[in-house]
Amino acid sequence: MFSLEFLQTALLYLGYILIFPGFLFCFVIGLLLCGIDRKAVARMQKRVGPPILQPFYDFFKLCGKETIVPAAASRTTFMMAPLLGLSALVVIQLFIPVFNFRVFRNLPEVADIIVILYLLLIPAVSVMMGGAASGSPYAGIGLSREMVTVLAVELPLVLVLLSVAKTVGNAMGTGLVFSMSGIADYQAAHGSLICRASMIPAALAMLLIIPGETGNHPFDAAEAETEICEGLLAEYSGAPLGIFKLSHAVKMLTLTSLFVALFLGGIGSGVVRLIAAIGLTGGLASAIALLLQVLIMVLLCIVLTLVTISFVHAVTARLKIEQLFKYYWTVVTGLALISLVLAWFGK
Amino acid sequence: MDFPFVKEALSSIFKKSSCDMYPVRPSEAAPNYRGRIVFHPDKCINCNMCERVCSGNAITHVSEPTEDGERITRTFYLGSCTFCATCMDFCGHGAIEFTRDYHMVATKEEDLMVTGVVIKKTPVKKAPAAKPAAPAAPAPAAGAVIKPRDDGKPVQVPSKCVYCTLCAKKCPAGALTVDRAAKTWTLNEDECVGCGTCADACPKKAILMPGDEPVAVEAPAAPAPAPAAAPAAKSAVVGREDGKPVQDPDKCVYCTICAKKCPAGALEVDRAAKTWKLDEDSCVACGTCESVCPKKAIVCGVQDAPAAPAPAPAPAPAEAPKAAEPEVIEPCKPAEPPKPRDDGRPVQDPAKCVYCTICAKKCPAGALEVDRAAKTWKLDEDLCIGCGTCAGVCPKQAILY
Amino acid sequence: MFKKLIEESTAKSPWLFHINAGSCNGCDIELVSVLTPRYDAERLGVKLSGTPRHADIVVVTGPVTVQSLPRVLRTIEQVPEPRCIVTMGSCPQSGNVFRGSYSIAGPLSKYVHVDVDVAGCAPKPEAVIDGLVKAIEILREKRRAMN
Repeated sequence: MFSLEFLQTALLYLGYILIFPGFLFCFVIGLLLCGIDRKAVARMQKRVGPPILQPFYDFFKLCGKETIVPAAASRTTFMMAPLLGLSALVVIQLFIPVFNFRVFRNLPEVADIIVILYLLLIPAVSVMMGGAASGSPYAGIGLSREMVTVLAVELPLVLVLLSVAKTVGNAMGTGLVFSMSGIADYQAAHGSLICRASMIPAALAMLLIIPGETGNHPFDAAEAETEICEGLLAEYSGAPLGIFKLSHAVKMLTLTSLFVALFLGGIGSGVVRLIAAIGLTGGLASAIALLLQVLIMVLLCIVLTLVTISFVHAVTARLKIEQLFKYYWTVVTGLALISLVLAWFGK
Repeated sequence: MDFPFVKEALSSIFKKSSCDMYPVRPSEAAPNYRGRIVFHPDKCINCNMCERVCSGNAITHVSEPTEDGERITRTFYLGSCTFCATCMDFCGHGAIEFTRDYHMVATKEEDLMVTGVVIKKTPVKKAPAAKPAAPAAPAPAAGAVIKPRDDGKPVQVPSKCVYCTLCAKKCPAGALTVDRAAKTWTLNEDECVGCGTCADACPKKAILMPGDEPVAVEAPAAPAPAPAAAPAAKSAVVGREDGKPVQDPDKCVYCTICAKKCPAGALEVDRAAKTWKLDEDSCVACGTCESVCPKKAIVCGVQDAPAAPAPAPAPAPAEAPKAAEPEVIEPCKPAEPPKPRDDGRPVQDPAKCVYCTICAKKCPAGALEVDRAAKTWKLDEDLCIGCGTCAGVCPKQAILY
Repeated sequence: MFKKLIEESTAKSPWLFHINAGSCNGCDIELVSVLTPRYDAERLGVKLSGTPRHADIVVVTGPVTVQSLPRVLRTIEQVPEPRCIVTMGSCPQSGNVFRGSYSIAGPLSKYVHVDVDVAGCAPKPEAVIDGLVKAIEILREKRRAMN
């Protein structure tokens, strides 16, 4: 039953989950993005800012702090919610192709935009569950705000994903393509989607969705630390709080890499062609190509973080929850709709 | 929507940060910053002015008697200091200094204590012997003018002075020696700190401080018993022995002021009917009625000198407390003038107290026991709650709180 | 090694929680100015947190009024260990000019162990940073003593 091949595959997938696009990669790159974001915001405000490794310090410090579970809390839910959110994010990361590299290359129909859409909800839901389980009134307010934020962001996100699916589908002549591998393959063959005029509004909408989905400034009404005591996280302390902070950081990585996979997927094939041009072949070439692609991916994620999260953070003040809702359902939804309409009529 | 800080944010990335980098790069406080206090005990003359003006009660002292004076340890608790520098301003000798050191971080309370030890030698013994009545010596001729001094020290106006010794009692530096019998007023120039307490304390405004109007000397006014010459016959009323008030119907205009001011509510005056009634049971013989009467129509107590019975206008109010004084002072002669206590409980000033018992009556805790006949004032330390009611009701301000 | 890592991280990531126990606002303004570009305490990893559960350092300002006392104590109890209590300004240390008032329950040290006192009325932001540096040392000690 336990053949060598099976063991090999199992080990490979374990490696995927624990190391490369999985946990370790998410942990390091996510916290790094978070640190870069904090440093960049500080620089934009003419401050020196914390060291880039600050989120790592924060995380390890929180691991060493006492964990207090409020008497009014439901203990199991309170403690499990952070893990649920983090694992969902790690799973999404497995589904997002890094250019030509895909975890589920043999099962293209597994990695699907619709699944990603659902999985993206889970971290938000887990924060809501944890907050609700804590029994704090601040978490109650945060809960309702988080729910409104999710509703506000989800509609334009769905429209963006739809327009991407439709564009790729049109080009492939198969209606709608929801498979992430399909989208990545198409871009590898025909260049990045962002080069198409019809996709530019969708890309813009996606850029605006990133800070909303991660709950960053100015869309952090749900976690407003000055008015509702960090909202849903009000009662969290110690390691569970650290995991929530980690999920927040990983979410930044997830969304920026999703953007890269959806709109900038063509860059990877350029790398492959470049290596082929140098004349490298075989296992070494593919290894170098993979390394380069991951590097480019991370660089693009950093740039996207700077533009969509840090810069927006530095120049805006927190929106009220109804302003946030109105903004997403008018401006951002409008942009996504334009793309969808253009894609639908085959431009 | 508009974003006013877009340009600012983008350009700031490439500019130097505006951070002071404080712990890495030391930073100095601005000129005239008021930071850690430095106390120079060698300059301190222990006038306690700093303690009196401190709003945060940050300055305290502990004194131990030594062979030839006192050893005073003065403490500034920076954890209670407002850094208002009022103590520095009031210190005439520059013994308190505010530095620009702002590093006042402590893990123990003692780290925030600034202390200094002052050795004070008892000045009283040498003062009268060394300088026999220095300022009194140049007895000013008639028509001369007494001017305040330039160096901030007090000057006596002999024509006004009644040698009541109050100024000497109040002097924080112990620089004044006043002899009631010999009618001398001596200032020890070395001890005087120029604080002005004597001038404030003087009931006759007989002490001039800088800024006061010069006073012309009236030739015949100097001798004290002048009021004795006042028409004695006119006062038909004789004071009662129990210290309760007696009305002089000739002078009384039934203005009702005495009834209004009476702390015990013992007087009833009807303006229309021209009646003046005293409720003997309520009266506490405090003498307030006598002092408030604009017509001097009330006499309290028996005047001790029959030669000047019930002197008319001016001396009347002054005489009454004086009458009590010699007897009062006896039990507390060895003690120095009373100081307010640190624990918030009242202290009696025997020089002012007329034993009217009103404090005992008003004390909510029943902690005071005053006997008018025996002239005693007793505080039950255990009962006293330190509320200060006694000091508030005292008509003679004889309770320090 | 992991223990050492946590200890170092504790010293590099002190999150503040600020309690106003009847302060005149002077110290509150100075505390916030510590986070401005000029002093930028975020260099030390300082972050102002909105809830006591996230905090490592509790900064108390104000003379601890009778009304605020139970709230202050409850808030401090909610801070997870290791924690460090810093009093800022003269008020929480002694009551300052409000000392002896009927509405003052302070000083704070009567009720909880105070780790660091920052004197001043109000302290300069530099002095506050000094205090935070001291508090961070104490935090590190406390973390080391924990296991």
